Amino acid sequence: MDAWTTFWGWLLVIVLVIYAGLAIAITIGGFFDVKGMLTTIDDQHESKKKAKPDADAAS
Amino acid sequence: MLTDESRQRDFPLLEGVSYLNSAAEGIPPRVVVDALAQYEVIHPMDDPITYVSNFSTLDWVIVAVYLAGTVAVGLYANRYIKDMADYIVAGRSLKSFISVATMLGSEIGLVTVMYTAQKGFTGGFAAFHIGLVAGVGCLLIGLTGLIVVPLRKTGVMTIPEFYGQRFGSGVRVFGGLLLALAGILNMGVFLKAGGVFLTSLTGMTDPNAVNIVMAILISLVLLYTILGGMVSVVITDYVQFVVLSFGMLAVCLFSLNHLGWENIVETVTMVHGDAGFDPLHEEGFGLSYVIWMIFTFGLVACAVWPTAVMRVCSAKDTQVVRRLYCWSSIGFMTRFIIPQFLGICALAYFWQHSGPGSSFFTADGALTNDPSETLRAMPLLLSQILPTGLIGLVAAGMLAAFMSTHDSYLLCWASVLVEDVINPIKGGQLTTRTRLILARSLIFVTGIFLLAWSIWYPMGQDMLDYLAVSGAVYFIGAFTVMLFGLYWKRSSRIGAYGALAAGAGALLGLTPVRELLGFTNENLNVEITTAHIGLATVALSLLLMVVGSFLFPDNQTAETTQA
Repeated sequence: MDAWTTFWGWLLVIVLVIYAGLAIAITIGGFFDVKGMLTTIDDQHESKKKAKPDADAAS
Repeated sequence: MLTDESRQRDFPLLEGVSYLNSAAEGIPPRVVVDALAQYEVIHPMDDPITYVSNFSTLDWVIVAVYLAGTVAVGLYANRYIKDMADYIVAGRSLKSFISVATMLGSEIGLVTVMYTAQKGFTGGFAAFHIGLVAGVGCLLIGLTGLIVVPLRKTGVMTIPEFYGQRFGSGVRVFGGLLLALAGILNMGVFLKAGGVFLTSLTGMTDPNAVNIVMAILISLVLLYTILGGMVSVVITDYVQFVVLSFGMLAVCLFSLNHLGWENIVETVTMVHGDAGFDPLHEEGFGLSYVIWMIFTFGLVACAVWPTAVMRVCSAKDTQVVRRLYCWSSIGFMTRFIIPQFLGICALAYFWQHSGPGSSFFTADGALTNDPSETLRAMPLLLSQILPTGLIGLVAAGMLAAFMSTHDSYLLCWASVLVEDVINPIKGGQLTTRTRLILARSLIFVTGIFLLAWSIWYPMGQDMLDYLAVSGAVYFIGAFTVMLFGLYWKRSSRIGAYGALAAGAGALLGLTPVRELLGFTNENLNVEITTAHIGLATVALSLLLMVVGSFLFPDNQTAETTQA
């Protein structure tokens, strides 16, 4: 049982440390990704708008 | 008069308590027993002084401001919704960091924290095996790309859409219906988790409080999800991830500091014995349960579960998919281990403060079998040890995470019903506007059902086991169909129907269903667990797929190319 206790204890420590690092990385990186996502969606809408008059003109 | 024998017989719980000797000496034992019983009616063993919550007005203000901000984000995001692709997959514009944040934001919600904490409370450290297999499974999927990479290459938006591409529109509709029904059934206890969490944390004691809180929560979720769609889901998942991650880490360290590692280990030893540490111990989880967890959380929850697959379909390319799974493996492990540790801390706290005979333990020191009691242990712990201010932040983060999970799931099931059931039945003729209205209406109807189910359904087992079984109705068949559909050319439509239908057998794992059908261990004279039923259903599903495909192969020109 001592072996299990040591194993779970170390697993808990490792999880806490790695998760803290992951949380910091994603907090920073995710902020820029959200900005990028909104810009991309806006661009998609703009290009759809532009494509529509072109298609109308072609027909 | 009290003697040593009568004292032991009549006051087993109070043995060794010094005041009993002086106060009760000279009083006939039965009178004392009655007096104590009367005292317990007025002052239950869960001593109200012990359980008074630290939640204050300041904490309510923090919660209100946070939730209002979340709804405002939903309203703001609404302006980005122009078509169905924006609503369901955020225009397929998600990059790595935000993909990980949104995946974990949905998967590490209040519900997850509640049911995994309950498992830590009832299983001890041995419950950590669930997190371990979930993390390793997710990492292996990321490294190998099993199922998720070929799925992303197909370009589908939902799993049933893949069924349609591979096996024809009939399988798509059947699979979609099964998926949505199983998913909604799975969600059925989410509201209960939210209601129990909030009432336990804030110290609400009114018997109707849980139901009232559930009604308020579902109203907020519906308003927010119907307005925003996937864009708002992504943004709030990100915020939720940040708040919840740092909140959970802080609470973990706080609990550890408050209780002490030695105390925690000692309590688990006293309550659970060796089974509290060794997951293979017969008196604890056991081998079959561990295998069931490897399949459920190590494989299916990452590769086949629709909300996870939704992130795959939303990812920019297959590279992002692989990276998403490798990074998320940490989160998949953490989402079990950290809350389970909080559950273990709750065990230590209440064992030390209440002990045998309280609402969590029987008189002889065993754990209570009542899942609704063990479910509230973790929030009750937080209400006792966290200071004002921090408790409000944790409550706000958890509630927002609750909304985040709900909106992801509601959006997922509604979009499956519209895109994979109703629209194909209508010959794919529905306009974008009609589909959006339908999706939003279905979200509303589902919300009402969830409220009714949460109030009515008698749980009868740990919440994690309920979720594994109800989810299995869908995911066992889905796993088989996707695995064979992606990797075995000879797999056929009839085999797919059989594999999907076999998943319904998992319902026998629900305690109320077993009792209703008389399928109990007492009647059968043999120990059949949820894990046995789940694994047998997996075997049946695989068998039906293989046999069905060999006996009824698809015509090469059949409808399998229809989408």
